[in-house]
Amino acid sequence: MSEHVPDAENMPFPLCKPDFVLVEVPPTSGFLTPAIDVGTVKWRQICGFIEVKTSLREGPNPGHRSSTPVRPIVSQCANYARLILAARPFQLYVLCMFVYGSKFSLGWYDRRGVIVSDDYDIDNNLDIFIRVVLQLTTHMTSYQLGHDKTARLLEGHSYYQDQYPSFTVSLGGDGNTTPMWKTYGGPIWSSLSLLGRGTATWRAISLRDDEKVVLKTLWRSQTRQSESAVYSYIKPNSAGVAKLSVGDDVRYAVGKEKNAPVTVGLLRSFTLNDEGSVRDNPVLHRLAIKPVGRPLWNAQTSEEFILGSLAALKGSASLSLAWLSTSY
Amino acid sequence: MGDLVGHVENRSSKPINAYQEWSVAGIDTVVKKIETTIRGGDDLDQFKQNVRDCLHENFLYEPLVSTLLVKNQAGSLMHEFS
Repeated sequence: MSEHVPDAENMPFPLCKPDFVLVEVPPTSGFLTPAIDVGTVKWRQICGFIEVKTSLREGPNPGHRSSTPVRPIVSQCANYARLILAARPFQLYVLCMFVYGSKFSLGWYDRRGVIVSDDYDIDNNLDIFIRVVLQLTTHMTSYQLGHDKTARLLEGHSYYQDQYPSFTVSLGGDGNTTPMWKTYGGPIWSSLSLLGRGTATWRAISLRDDEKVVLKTLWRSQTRQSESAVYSYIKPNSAGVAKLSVGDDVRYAVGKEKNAPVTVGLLRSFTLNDEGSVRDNPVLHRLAIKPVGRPLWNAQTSEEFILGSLAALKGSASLSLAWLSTSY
Repeated sequence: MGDLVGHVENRSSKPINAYQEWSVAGIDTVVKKIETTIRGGDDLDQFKQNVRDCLHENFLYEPLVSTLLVKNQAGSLMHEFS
């Protein structure tokens, strides 16, 4: 990929990592995992972290008289969280732990912000401290740690292997759990922002007909039409415009609800028991479009470049007409 | 711009509730055993002394790291206490 395009696998991620990282590593035969040089760990292996500070004053919760609601450690860890989400786009939220002086607290980062627990004292609440570390490092599944249940690592693949792993991906929900696509290679694009749509695109193969598609996942605002709906306004076979293969909101079976759209609110609700409202409450949306093209800057000949540019212009004109026809 | 608006919720009781929810069978027993072991040793006292001495973070948490994080890798604590 060109250096102008974010590439979740090859882009230069910062070397600076959290103080302790929750990392997916190869299994070992012994009881202890051998010491690992954090410098060799890829960001895509990291699914959670612990950030430590020396002083109580550096904690994530503002003092009662403080006028600054966002503490430096919260911003610093937001940066770590966005890098994790960019490096492994099927991660839907990031759990972390803040340790500062003799206190600690727990954090949750998602596409709509951060939730920080109250301060706990390591001595007085040692049982909570032990429980959290045990849960994070030993007991919790990757799905509890935030991985999308509708995107599963292909058998034999792992986040710690040399090449970016492949996933089988579905739209989820009742009767819709059969994998529909298999990704290959790292993401073509992965958003670098923590807040927002968190768009990621992949090269994938439809498991129904072996057709190559571009698989796109994003958080859409409920106040806007989905990208799949927008495609329905476009005249079929418009020049230079990709065709929608399949598109819908991603769904989980939660309790009696078999097809609950995955929203930030839903994840907070069933993971944190948080029934509070979430602004816009974005929905996880997934679509497959075709054909699979390639960037103009990867054109091999002048003719290819000119034909590609012409197609882009025609596509832009078609989309403008479609927009006009729905606006008036 | 609506997509780019985030919210920070401080001092929430929710995250800790989640960790309680995720409890697995027998974890309370294991937690209690580990806590007893830690309190029975010098590490916690050493850590508290380090806090009072305002040590650099590279050294401050060393006692806790040695007992909790390092030993816990690959579930060795679970093996040791279960």
